[in-house]
Amino acid sequence: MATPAWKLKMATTGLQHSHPAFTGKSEPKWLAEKRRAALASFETLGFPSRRVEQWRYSNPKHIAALDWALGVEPDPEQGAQTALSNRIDALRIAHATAELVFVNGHFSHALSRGLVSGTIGPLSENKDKAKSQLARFTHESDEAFSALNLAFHQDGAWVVLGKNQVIEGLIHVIHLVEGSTSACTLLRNGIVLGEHASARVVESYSCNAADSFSNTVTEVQLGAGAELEHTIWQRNSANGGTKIGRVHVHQARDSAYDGHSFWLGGTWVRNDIHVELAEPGAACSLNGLYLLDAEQHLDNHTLIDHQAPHCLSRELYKGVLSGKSTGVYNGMVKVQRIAQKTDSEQANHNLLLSDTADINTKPELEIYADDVKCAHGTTVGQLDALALQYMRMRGIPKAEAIAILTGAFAQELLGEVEDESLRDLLEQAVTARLAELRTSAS
Amino acid sequence: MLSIENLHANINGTPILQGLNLKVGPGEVHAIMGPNGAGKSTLAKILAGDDSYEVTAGSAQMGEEEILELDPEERAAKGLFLGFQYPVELPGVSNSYFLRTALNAQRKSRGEDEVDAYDFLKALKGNMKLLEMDPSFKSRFVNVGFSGGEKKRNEILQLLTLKPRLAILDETDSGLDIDALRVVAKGVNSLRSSETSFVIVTHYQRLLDYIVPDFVHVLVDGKIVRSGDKSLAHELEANGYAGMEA
Repeated sequence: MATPAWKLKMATTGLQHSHPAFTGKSEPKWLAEKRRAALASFETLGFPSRRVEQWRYSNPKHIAALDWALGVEPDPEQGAQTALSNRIDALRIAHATAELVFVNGHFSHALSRGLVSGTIGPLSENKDKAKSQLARFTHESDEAFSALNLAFHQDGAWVVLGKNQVIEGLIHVIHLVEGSTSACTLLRNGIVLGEHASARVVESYSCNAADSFSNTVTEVQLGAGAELEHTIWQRNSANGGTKIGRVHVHQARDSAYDGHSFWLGGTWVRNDIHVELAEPGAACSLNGLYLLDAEQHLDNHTLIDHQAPHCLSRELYKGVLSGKSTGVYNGMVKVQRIAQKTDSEQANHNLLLSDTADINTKPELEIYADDVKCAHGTTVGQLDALALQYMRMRGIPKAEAIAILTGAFAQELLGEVEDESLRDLLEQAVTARLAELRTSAS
Repeated sequence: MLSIENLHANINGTPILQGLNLKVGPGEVHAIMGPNGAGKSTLAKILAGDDSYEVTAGSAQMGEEEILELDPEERAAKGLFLGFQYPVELPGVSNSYFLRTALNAQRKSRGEDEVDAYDFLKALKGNMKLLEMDPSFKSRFVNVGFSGGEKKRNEILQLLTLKPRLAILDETDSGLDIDALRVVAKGVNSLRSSETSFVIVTHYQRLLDYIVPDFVHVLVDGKIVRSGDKSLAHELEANGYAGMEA
């Protein structure tokens, strides 16, 4: 059933009333046109319902009932700014080359560092660079939340590297949502790497407003031979609001996308990754770890589309679920008729720490070529009772043994992160989060 | 060191141990032999704290202390070690991390300081050399992908590292070829002293040629029906368990 027209109207009207681009702020004509077209798409599509297979396990009904107003800029008062600055400091990655900070969707120059004009900066200041790239490969006409995002995005981080350009250090994007209001934040990030360019980008999400709604799209375009290590780190725990995020990756010949997701929080999270292996020799690896407890809901949908021959994809998602949390893994690999010699593996493994946690896992293959190598598998299990007993008989107390076994389960994904200092930070965060999960399980 | 009196135990309502008595003094090596299903492994597991068995009567004391009410980790900290017949795999947990964590947990429980990392590694290397284990086993995940013989050696490596007061070895010889058996016995013998007592559970006399026991007991139908010195093992090898009913 389509969303009732009045609900759609409330959402779009609310956003239009609070969005500068719809309340008189001048924008380039091309951008205004993109916004209008996307708004029209969204109004046609409406909010998805559970009857659509893609949303079967995640009912977004509560989203339609949100207060539809954009997040406000942080309070300029001195004390509030100091407090904000302290909160951002806690999220920083010390060894990052550049840090772009967004608060409630608003870019903060004061809190950001390491910007490079025309290369690393906010979308709002790089519109010329983004003109030919924005929504170049994405699918707003059939994806409601991407359309909503394109219509109403406030800003976003843009990294645009030319041919052979290499950024050695980490580029860290911090998205903080905070405040007591049930605000909406819409961000449009872009990572566009030219031929043989390479970068490492980390997107950190932190949210202290349980009723908030964030909608993000990150567009990744990799030119021939380009390489990107892209980490998404949801840092807050259960009190993290509703988040719908999408990463869209378009890969040219021999490019490599190395994606990591660490979902340590969020109240209701939907995470889509869509990779198009558009030219021969492209390779992608998608790793994801989700650690859920209480009544958290997290839905991972991934789609890897092999559109050309001789491409490779690897996917490993692992989840630890406690409390009454619910998780979804839906991993689709499509192999088009032309995509001979495709090499694809995907796996999803889940560890349930409580009897009341729930996981729906579904790997899918759609193969139209005949000379391909594709494998997939999923498991759902509990902690190995024999392993636990073995460790206890060696003198390791039960709680510590459980900690070691759950940590070992997550370790495989941490080990895949190339940047050592980042890996250490993630490991600390994962260890702390696993301790919370165990507490809520016992 | 160990004193078991009138021990009765069931699994799923079926009686396995039916009035078992055993006394092990400091530094003594006792072998427990018997036919399949006599309750040898059950005895080993109950002592180590396997909660799938129900103890219905009797007691087991280490020194003056009753151990049957303790958690498995508390028994380990008091110096009890069970060498598993089928060692368990721990994917994602490296061998040296596991051993150091276990050793430190035991030390902490006894109110001792954590072991120095350098000293630990040095001792570990020495023990691995004694057991003819490749150094790569340090960083491999516990028992994952190990052959049967490698798993048993790894149990003995844990034994040597943890230095228990009472070591129970459950069919450590099963599945070992003669070379591996020799190495395992060398490890066990290196720990023999007045500080450590052994209870060696085995179906065959073969192991006892390498680890020579002070006492041999025959366990049939959940009770010890005969005890003697090492010559009893040879007698059993020659005549079998026939005529040893309770």
